[in-house]
Amino acid sequence: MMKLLNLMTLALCVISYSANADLQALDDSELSSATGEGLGFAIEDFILDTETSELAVTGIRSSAGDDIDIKWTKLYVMGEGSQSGTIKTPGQIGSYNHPYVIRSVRGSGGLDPSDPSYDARYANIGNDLALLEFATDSYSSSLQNSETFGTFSYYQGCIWGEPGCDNLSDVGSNGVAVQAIEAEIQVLTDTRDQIAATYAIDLAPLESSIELYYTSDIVPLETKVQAEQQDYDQAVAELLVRQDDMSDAFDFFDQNFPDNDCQVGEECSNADANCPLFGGASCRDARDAYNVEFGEYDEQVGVRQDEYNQLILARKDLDGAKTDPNKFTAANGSYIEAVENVEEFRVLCGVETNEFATCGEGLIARKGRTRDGVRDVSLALFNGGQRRGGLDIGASFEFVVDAVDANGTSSQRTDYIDINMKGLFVDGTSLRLWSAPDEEGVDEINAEIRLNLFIKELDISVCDPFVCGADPVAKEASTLNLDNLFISLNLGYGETQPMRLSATSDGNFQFELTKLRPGPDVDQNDQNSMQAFYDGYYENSPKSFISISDVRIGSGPDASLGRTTVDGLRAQYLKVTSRDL
Amino acid sequence: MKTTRQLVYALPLLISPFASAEMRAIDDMGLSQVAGQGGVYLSGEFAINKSGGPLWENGERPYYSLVDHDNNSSTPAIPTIDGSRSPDQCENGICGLRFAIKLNENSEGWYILDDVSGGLAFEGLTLQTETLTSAINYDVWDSSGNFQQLEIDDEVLKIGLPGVIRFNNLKFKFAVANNGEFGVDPEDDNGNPLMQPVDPAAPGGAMEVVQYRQTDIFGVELDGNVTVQGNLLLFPVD
Repeated sequence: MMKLLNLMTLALCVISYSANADLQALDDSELSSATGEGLGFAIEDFILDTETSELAVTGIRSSAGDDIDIKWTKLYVMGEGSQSGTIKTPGQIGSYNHPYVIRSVRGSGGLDPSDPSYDARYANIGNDLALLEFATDSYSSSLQNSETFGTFSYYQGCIWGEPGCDNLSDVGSNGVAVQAIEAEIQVLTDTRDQIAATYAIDLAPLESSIELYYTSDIVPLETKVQAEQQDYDQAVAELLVRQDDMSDAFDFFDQNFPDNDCQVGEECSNADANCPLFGGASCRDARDAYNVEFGEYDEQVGVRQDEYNQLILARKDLDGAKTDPNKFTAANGSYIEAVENVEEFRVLCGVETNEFATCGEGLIARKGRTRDGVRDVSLALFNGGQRRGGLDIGASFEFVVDAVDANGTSSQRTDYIDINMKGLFVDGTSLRLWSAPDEEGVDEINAEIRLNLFIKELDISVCDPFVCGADPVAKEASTLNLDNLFISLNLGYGETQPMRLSATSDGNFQFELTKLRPGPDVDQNDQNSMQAFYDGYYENSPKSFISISDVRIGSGPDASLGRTTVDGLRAQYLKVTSRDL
Repeated sequence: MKTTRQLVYALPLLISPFASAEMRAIDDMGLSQVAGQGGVYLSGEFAINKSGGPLWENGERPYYSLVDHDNNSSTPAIPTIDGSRSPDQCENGICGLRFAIKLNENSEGWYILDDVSGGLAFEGLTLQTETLTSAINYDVWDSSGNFQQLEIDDEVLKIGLPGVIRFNNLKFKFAVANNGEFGVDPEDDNGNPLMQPVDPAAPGGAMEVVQYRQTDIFGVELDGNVTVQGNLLLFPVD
């Protein structure tokens, strides 16, 4: 019981911290008591249902400035299988063995990995800082881990456990999902093999040849193109000056002697000038003056054309040096192909390797690890493994908005939105908060978010329930279905790139993912140490991704819009500020 | 039953920040009477500013300018009601509670939970300690897919959710403002009105007083019965 009481004290501490909001750095004696133990909690048999109660969302305004009346007609949180909240199914939020946790813990930055208090999760937050962590349940098996299961579901292409997607012959070590990701990996390895087979020399000599060829052949031709371009630009500028002079001379002639049949841009003959025989000297002078300007213009047209031809020739030479396989003699194929191939090989096999035969930490290796996870899940399902139940969450809203018809008559219209999430999981999610001085030395709250959200099925319907309630076909036709939606959102990377929340002086909220902050151990004036810092950031900082195995509107044969994936999102800097409209 | 006694001491501490209105600390006598019971059964109702709070009992909230009463800029200016700005009219003449929080020391704005009013009532919130004898390990299962049941002997605090919570026009607004206090123009470090350039593009030009501004992000209103079932387990983790 003493342990429980300690727990209470901890809970109180937690509450008071969040109320103060400004987390202070702890002194040594306080830090020594932050040992990583925490308050675990779980909710058994949870049901939340607003049923007949009235909820409303206020404060949302239309473009005319009027409050939009939003009725929140339904909100439920239940266990999976609730049939859109109609059957009260108890849901489990965490469990004793896999609890949600609130804990206060020291950062592990600067500690030796062999140190007993070292924890890789907190390695980017200094050991002198205490952080407050809120974490959801976590699982060691690939089947229960929603990240691996979400990836498996994406490749399997259907919601496992639903009719038509529960055949044991579709899973196992060579199941549908495993084959799908193997096929992707095969395409990548084929590309890699093809690149390697193209060259008789190895990667390192090829790269040196590329560099050498660039300096000896490409650079002089690029310089020549630049020079020719300058000459051409000058010729064009001169042509424009002469064209203006010619136009001015013509305008003078034409306005004073409008009887002429001459055209600007052509020589003006005696006959066309129509100058009077007697007393026409000034007319003839004006005509002659125009003809002189025309002659100079005409001459410059020829000069410009010559410069143009020379520029095109120089460009062709440069292009030839890049694309002609006979000119880049160091290896098979052209210079530009070699550059592209080396770049692609680096993407596939990582930047460390120097030979085609070695494929290191690149896309192929990463996909391979994803494949291992997918295979684990597929095998577990084949061997009778079951996925634990998730949560069903849903909400419905009614909006009353002003609608203006074609005649300008304004009337009130009610719009509906009905959101149902079936089988929602958030395991592996965490929020970490700590206090650190900003650029001006003032303490501020920093945060790091790891959000893992997996939803087996997300349906968003916009149909009037009085129409669609009785007509499932009509409801389905106006429903957007997302299957196996998995969102892994990773914002913030320890002290290197914390996330911060603030508010502006004009009353708007601000969310910022700071610019990268090299720590005190990085010499910012040294190129190599900055390079190492950036390499470390790109290699280790987590990326965000989203995958959806099927996007469908309605249920017809061509209702599917296919699968979607957004991979490798990472923000170097992000700032979001709200605006009052 | 020492266990329960300690538990009951701890309980009002936990709840007090939220619901001090209707709860009373139990004296020693009272405590001695709960000994021997397996847990605590709680019913409660609390209401916040249901008929308007003491600060704004006339149903409207005025705006204040900072006025330098003694012509001395080294002493703080005093907030004075600004008649030129028409007061904020609270809904149905009831101004709710306001809770403001500044996340960072140098942040210029505040996050606000504004206009909190209404009430909620529940019956049957239970609180007891329970010794768990088994727990499911979802990471291990047998060939028929049954999850492993671990045998344990650990004490947890179990809070039985009440089943139904009755909301009585409970409402709140979430907003962001440039001062924690409603309607008062923000002040600088010396307590004088905060100034800003009239034209932000020309920082050296004429200055004006920064007026109080609040942006309501959204509000929620709740009325009626909401089903909230389940057991919340609390326990220490390593």
